[in-house]
Amino acid sequence: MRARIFGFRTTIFGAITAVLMLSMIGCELLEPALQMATELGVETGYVSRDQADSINKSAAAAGKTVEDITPEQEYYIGRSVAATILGRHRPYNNEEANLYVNQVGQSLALASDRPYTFGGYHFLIVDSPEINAFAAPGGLVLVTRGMLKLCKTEDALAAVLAHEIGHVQAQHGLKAIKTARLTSALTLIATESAKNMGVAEVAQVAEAFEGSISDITSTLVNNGYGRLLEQEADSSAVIILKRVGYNPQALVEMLKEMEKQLKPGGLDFAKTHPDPEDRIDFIRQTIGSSPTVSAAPAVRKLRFELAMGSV
Amino acid sequence: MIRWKVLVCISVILLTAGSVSSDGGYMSVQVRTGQVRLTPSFLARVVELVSYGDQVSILQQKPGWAEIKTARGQQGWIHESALSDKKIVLNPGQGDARVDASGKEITLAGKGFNLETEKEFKSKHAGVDFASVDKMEAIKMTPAQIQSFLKAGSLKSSEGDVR
Repeated sequence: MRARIFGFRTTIFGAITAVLMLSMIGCELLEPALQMATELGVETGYVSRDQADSINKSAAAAGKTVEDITPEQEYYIGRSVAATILGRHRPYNNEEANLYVNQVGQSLALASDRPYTFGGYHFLIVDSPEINAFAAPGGLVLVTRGMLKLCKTEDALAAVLAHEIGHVQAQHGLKAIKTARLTSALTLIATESAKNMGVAEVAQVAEAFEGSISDITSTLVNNGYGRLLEQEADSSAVIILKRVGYNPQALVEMLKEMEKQLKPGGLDFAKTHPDPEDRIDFIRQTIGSSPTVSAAPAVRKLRFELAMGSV
Repeated sequence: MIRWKVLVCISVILLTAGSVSSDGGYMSVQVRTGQVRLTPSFLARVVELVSYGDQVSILQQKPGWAEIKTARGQQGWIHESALSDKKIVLNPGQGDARVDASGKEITLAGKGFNLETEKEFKSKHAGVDFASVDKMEAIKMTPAQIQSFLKAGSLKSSEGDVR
């Protein structure tokens, strides 16, 4: 009799283990099945409630990725990243210039593959002579006065902003969060209901949030996204610029301008982005032999000069 | 005997697992406020506003857009970037949603990365500037204003059918 019960117990554990292993190799449909199997184990008394919870948590942890960050979480992460950068560089209080940058930026965002985010796209000029631009998750884009001074036309400004929108649409900021941090926090958030969360768990979530902000901010400010993600943002920028009717060649012109101005080993864009020359080659291939865009009309030139003249 | 019963039960659960998480023709609103429009265009008249977590039934899809029916019975078009195929379940008065263990359903947990987490973050970092973030978010433009800006600059207006 004892042997038989032992065998029965082994069968249940065997079944749960098999489902667990299958769910870990990416068959997400099996997770509800696993939960039902563990429930059955609990009901028949062969798995304790703690064991069942632990099995379900392991399965949930196996699949946690950037995809599992909710739009609202992305929004709050983005706000804190932007607030951190704005704590280091003050905003530039020129209402007219900020409105104009938003007109250009929001026009581009509407033509992107992701025109809507939880809180929408918003742009702000930062009062810094450094040549830089930052995209916080969810669509909060910061661009320095130093960068704007390099832009000689609305098309050039559009090129800079379209590149940043490229980072937002592909969620590059969220991808900078260390996987281990994401796994532990999201698993905790996903498996504990509010009333079950003790002081320790709440502190753990806060710590994970803090760590995520720090991962993203240091990527934006110090390390950069790396060549592949920058290329992805450049490709998206070319597509968006073409859709709106801006000259995609403006992105190449901007990079040439940056190459002239950036100091090797400088603390700004040069530190976080690949060599402009490499990017220019890639962008030229991406643009291909698209029809030449006619020169910008007078209205576009005039409104650019009016809004950006004093920056 | 009991062993076979359990094995049969587990097999049935596994065989039906696919249908447990499938969700038919419903999607969830994944932006704070979504505009339901008369036709699939950013310029079309807004017929209803939907909120984060609202479930809508999908009537048909076109590149970039979905024709939906809201819970109140209103039909209209919404841009697909405002929708998620994950089910978002919200409880009134609580904080953020979460993605459930299956990854298919976003349900509510009282604690997440939300306003409370932001407040705590703010209290620990004296230098951060949320006031400027709020100001930044206050700069809003309607699609109509964007269209006239584009038109004035001889640029193309997007209809959202960008895929």
